[in-house]
Amino acid sequence: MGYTSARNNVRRVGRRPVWIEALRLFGALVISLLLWEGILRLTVGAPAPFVQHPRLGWTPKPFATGFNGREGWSRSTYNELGFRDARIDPKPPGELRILCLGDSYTEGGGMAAARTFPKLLERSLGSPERLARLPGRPTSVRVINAGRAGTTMAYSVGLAETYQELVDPDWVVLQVRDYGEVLFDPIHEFRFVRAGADISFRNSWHQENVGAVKRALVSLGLRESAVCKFGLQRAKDFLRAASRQPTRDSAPKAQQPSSQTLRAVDWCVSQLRARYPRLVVVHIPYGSAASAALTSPQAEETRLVEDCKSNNVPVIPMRRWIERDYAVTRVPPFGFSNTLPWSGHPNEHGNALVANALLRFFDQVEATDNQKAAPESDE
Amino acid sequence: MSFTSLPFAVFLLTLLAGFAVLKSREQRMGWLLLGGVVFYGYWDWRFLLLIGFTSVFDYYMGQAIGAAKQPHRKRLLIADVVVNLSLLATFKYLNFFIDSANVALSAFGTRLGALEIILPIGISFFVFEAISYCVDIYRDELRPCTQWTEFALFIFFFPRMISGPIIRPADFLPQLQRRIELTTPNVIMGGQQFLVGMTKKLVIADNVAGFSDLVFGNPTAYSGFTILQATLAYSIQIFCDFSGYSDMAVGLAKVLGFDLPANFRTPYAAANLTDFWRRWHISLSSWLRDYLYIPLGGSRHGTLRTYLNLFITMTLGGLWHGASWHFVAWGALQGAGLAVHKFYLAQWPDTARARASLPWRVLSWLLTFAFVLVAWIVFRCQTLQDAGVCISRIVTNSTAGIQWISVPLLQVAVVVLLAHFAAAVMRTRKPVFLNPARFSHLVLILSWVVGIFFLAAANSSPFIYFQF
Repeated sequence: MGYTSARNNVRRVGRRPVWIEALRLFGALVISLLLWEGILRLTVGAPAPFVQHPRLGWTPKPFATGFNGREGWSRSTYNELGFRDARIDPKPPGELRILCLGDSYTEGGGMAAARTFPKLLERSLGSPERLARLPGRPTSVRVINAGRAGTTMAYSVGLAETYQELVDPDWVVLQVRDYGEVLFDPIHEFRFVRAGADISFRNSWHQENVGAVKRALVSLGLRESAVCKFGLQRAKDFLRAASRQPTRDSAPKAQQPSSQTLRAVDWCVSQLRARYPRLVVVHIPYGSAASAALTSPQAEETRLVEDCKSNNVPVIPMRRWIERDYAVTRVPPFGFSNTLPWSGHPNEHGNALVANALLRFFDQVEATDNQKAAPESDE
Repeated sequence: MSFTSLPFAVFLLTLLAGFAVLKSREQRMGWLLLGGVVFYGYWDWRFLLLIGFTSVFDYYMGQAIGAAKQPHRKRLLIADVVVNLSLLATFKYLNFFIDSANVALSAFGTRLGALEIILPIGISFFVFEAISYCVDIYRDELRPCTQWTEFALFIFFFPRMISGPIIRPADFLPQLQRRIELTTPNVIMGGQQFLVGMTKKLVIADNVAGFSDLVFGNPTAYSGFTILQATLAYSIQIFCDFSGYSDMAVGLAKVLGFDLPANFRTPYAAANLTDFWRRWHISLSSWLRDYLYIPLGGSRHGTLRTYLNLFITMTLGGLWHGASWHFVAWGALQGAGLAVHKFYLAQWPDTARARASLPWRVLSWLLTFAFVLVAWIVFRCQTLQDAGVCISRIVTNSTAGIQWISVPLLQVAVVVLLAHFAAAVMRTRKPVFLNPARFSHLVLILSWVVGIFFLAAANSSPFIYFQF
């Protein structure tokens, strides 16, 4: 790129006072940020605003709509409880209600709601042939997507009674993954705290956990702006990259979990068993873009599966499902067209795999229940 | 320190602040020289030993060549070139030669041990510049520097030390004779060009790098179509990375009051391979032409010799990029392509009129672009075997492996190619620059900077040409 002398093009302006220059700069910065607010909302997305629900904690604002273009491309609408689903009315007679708890893997913010595994499961289970075979012969099936981005299985423990009361599910599907140190992250409303070699379970609501910067942004009404959300996330990504930590969209660095993490997992599973009478746990491992495969199994995954078996909690480790499917189809279950294959969240194919695995589980449940019922019917 | 890093920002601000304190030309020259030493030494202080030696050795050799008469003059030049190339060969190519020799020696059950040699960053650039200094003196195209600080600043001029552009002493040294100062128009123009370079590097190159690195890191896991997209991604990555760095270097130099030559001129708009090499890495291709191709005889000794000279020049140009056979193969491919183009022009001169027609130009552009893409596969892959796998999967449209469509990549590719053609069309127009004294322009500048922050890849990869 060649440049000629710009002397003639420079408008000679007399020196302005410093405060005028500062004001000019500030005004220009505000206008540029407003411009980018518009651009980001149109392209990357305008996430739904969050509010403090009196019982559920920090959730998307009831009936709000968010737009995500960072990973995948989708619009999300939230119901009165902040779930990415339709309004939840009292359960009508004859309805089989399945509540799907989990994190962003369940919420499925990168794709249309109808493509998430809860909704795929609902469509499959809701077919007339299946309804006729299900125990109790329900007249309808409702599978609720109650995935909450940024949460862990600790939330499902802490909110068990609330969920039971508000939703009245017949079955609960809990999607988990390897959380590692995230279980101890003080930003979470339900988390574990280390006390020497021991751990304890803690609940503190969002406003108590956030720092002064975020509180200031909330009070100024800026926290929910696309510029603020995206900008803060970018700043975190740059800092993580600078300190060589994985960014938000990448799988956590493979490292053995601490003994306290494993004890937290033990405790969670035992509590889940006690609090949810009919529960199935789905474990989704992480994908690795670099190796175009799943990351190696970590101790946390192994421990979770063992705990579930010893507590008689049905568990579906998706690892085997994914490996078998990929060997045949060569379709990565993670990644979207605007990200990389095998990176980030499960895509439509990944969600279909989970839905198929759950369908197989419920078929087995139905078969078991029918087997138990058979002697009675023979009588 | 990379141009896009925080330490560099601190370094630059300190350097510019020095201009406010130091007023005379000599003081500012010394300050810039010190800045260059700090900049280069920041990578590894040991690198300073070699470049310091070059700055002293070639300064005195230049003086000796300038004062000598034939045949002693020629002997001095040969000695200078041999020493410089020996340094390059030792630090950059010795282990490559050893590995290559070991392939032959393995038949005899013996091998040579590899040496642990650090590769000084930018060696390929400053060695070439030192050689051109002495050769230009020998050709009476340049007078030797009378002060070591002037020559040292030519070698240690930090904006282009690491990845070029390769500057000619005849272009740079006269600029040291004038007043070294920061002027508002230069700061504005230079700053804008720096931002352009930063955008190309951080926003485009680093973002598409994720996809191309992923696929080329494991090509057997991907289908032919995915590899084709990765090739397109790499072609965008290497252009935006390298031309982005060049823009930053030229912009920085402009801020300091120096003019460096443009290194790229919409290369992907080239209509043929010869045209491509007049637009891509211009400082290297012109250096190779003036200091290798022409001394070899150029086109003065018949057709076959011309093709051979082209082939040798480009093959060595490939080797310059790195100590590996796939770089040599890439250079040889380019040399062969240029020879074929020359042959075509010689055999069918009557097609000149047809070649000016639009369908022919489109076809010619497509063929050139396709050839350049295939060559980039050879350049990018770590081994020739990997390159073979990639090319065969593309050619056979293999569906074995992950079939992926990267929508952002395709969008970026369209934008970059359109920008190429738009820039090629607008080249003759007066360049537009943003004047922060105007409020609307200030808004645009700040929007631009904020945009770089939002759109830059979190994991910035090192500049590709740092490894050369």
